[in-house]
Amino acid sequence: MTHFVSRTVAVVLFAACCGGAGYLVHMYVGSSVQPPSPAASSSEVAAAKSLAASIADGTPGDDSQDSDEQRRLRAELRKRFGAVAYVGGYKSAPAHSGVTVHDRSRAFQGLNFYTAGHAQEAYLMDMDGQIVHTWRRDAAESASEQNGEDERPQSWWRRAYLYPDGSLLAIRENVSLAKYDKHSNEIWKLEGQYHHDLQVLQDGRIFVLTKQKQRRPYLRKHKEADDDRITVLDADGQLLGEVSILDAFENSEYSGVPTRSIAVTDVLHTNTIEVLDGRLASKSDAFKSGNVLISCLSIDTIAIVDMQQESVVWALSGMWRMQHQPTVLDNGNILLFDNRGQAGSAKVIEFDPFTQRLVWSYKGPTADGWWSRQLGSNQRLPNGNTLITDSVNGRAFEVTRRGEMVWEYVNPGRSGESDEFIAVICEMIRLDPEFPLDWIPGPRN
Amino acid sequence: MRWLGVVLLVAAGFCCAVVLGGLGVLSFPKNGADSAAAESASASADSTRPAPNSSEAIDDLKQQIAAVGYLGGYEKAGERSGLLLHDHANAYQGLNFYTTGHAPEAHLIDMDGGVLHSWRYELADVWPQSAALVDDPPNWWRRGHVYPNGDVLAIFERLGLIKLDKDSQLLWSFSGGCHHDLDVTSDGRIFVLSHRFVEHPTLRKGESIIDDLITVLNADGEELRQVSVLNALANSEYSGVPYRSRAPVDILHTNTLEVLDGRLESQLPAFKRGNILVSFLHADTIAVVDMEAEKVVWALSGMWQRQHQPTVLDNGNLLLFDNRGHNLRAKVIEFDPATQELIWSYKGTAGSGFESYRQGSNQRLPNGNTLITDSVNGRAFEVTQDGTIVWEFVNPARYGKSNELVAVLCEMIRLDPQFPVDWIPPRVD
Repeated sequence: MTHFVSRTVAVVLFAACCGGAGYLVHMYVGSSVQPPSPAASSSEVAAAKSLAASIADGTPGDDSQDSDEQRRLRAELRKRFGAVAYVGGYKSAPAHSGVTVHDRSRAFQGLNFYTAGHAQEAYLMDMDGQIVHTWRRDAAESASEQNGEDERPQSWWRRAYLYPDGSLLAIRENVSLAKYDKHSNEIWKLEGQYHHDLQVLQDGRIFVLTKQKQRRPYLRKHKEADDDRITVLDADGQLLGEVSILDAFENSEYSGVPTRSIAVTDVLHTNTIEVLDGRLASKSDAFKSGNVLISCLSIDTIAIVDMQQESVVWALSGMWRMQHQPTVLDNGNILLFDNRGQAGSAKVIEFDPFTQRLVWSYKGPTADGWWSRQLGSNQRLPNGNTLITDSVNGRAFEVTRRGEMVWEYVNPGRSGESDEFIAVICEMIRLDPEFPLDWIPGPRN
Repeated sequence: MRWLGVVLLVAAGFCCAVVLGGLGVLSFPKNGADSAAAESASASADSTRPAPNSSEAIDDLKQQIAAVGYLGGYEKAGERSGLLLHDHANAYQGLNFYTTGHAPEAHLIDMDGGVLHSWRYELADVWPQSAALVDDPPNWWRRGHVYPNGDVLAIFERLGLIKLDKDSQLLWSFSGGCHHDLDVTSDGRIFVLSHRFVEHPTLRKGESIIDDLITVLNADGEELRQVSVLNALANSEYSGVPYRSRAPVDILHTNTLEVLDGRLESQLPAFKRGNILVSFLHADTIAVVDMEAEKVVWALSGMWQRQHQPTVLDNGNLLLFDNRGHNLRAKVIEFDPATQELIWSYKGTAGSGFESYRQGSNQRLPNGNTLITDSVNGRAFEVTQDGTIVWEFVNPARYGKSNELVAVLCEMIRLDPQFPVDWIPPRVD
């Protein structure tokens, strides 16, 4: 062979080796997910975002009812966005928004208070959709913080609590807990891992969820686990005490429950708290006044923590999966938003916590199943109707006991790079008709 | 030009590998390689039984036998065995009936460990085909039931149920894949757990999984009806329960059943007479199945892990053997099924639980004591309310290559003092 030919042959064969080696590596390592290129089409990104529905704070989520394609896209999303907690919107924005249904004779009349995924704001709104008052974090402050890229979970208020004087507390998920006056002036702010839910008692104490990463080898051998805590502050935000929920489980008859969790680090994902008033105490000590009813999504379990003993004294699971907002009703039953317990679909249920008898349920408008996988809330109204926050669909609606919709509000707020999604409604609460409103300034601030 | 020759050789080798790999002549293990080939002829969800002796049927049998997963013994035998302790004043007097993990036998013993009567029947004599299929067939009785006339029922785990008379003569056999537990009602019907393999649309997609069945037989061993546990869950408010399980095939591992007599019905409607209380080991959950509606109407988990033998007591509480819920160790608990209030517990001599990781059982005795079967240690013991052991028996049988292990004690039951014994043949010593 001539020198030239032999060198060409060598080069060609070398290239073939590399190809072969690459092929072998591919076979051994398995097909890996290719993240979308930086110039991914908006529809690709939209598809990936729409599957954020099964991600909650980095948990692998329950993909048992998803297709292979959905699982692949979820892995992609995780790669691209990391362990993002929530996005501000999931579903394509519908044509109509605002109050779309209002049966004046059957809907429970009152003002509505809510936060949503499109802004660091809270709204007081009447039954016709008129905004009566708005609170917002200083726009300049927010803008200087935002880097203009992907939405960050903290660019909205996960939950807010309204005081009778118009001041409010707002949680920015894992960023801060702040108090604002009725003019949105900041009164105080605590930076830290405040998340999901809070409650203010008559005596002014604030109960709020916080968390901290900790080594718990019996739960996670090689990673730190998120230890959710029930933190108690005074009215000025000074720390009074806190109880570790993992400690409370460990120190109880329910010590095995957290070990069921398959979440990577967010082993409990506690998402609501409710300080019990003792109305069920005569039936069970576990429900005594001052104990705290919690909802732990990652273990499909609701439980009660005794704050003095720092121990879980009651827990229940079975009829729901990845639930939110268990609340004790006047009649002693519990109302709960079950995100995925209805064969992967959602339902709102009322049940007797002792017999587990299902007293009432709402399973969506059609027999096809109601998709409402993230967030969600529920409130029983004095007229027997139930106000349901269908967060991921950006709506809140009120149904009668027979399941008829008598009020519906669809969020006009938008989310997404080109505002293509309807922003979530984090929680809509119907205020008591007696709630003082004298603090509301004249025409809109 | 030696280097060129070397490069050419190596390159040629790679090219061959690529071509042959592509053609499938050589196969390279992929990441996440599929599990060992399942020679399965899995039954469809409609469960049409394959023709007997067909290769499908044989594969089914092999699968069933493979699903057994128990050994006849796990722990090294101690120095002592048989009766270890008998506090005559405080132990509840009565005969004891037990099955053992090393042999297809049951024994009736007195409070001093003396054997009054035994039964035995070999697997190979009732189902020779099953016994011949594998090297170490499950030739032992998972559970037994003794009738007042000395007849017994016995379960060959995952294979079937037999009835023998007091002389160990076979009266009938039922080969429906029975396992773990049975209950006999006062009208003579027999409730027994059995199983089938199904393909489920969402649980372990593409794989065969075990669906436990509550099978009802008449007194002659003929099937009256069968309820699928997976269907009962799917048709209920508890459809999410199986999704908690991490087991690849034996999703629920239902391990006990108890026919409810209705004593709790007024407090807990779910516990109506005729409903069945079951235990799902792999979901850490106990549940009640309504056999008419074919749905689960109640379920509870939380205070236990890998449990056995929930049973409704006279006082309306539940007694349960919790294998791993006390910091991964065992405890026996009595609790109020409505409020979950813990009424009583036995957590070992130091209160830190005791090691009893498989099987296990419990029985409340009329004097308030509790008879606990600590299966893997081959022992049964009776404790008072304050945790004092007043009777203790260790299985004298052995297992293992050199008989170094104590044979598992599957379940020890204390019989009512009024249990008729006139059928027991006189002892020949």
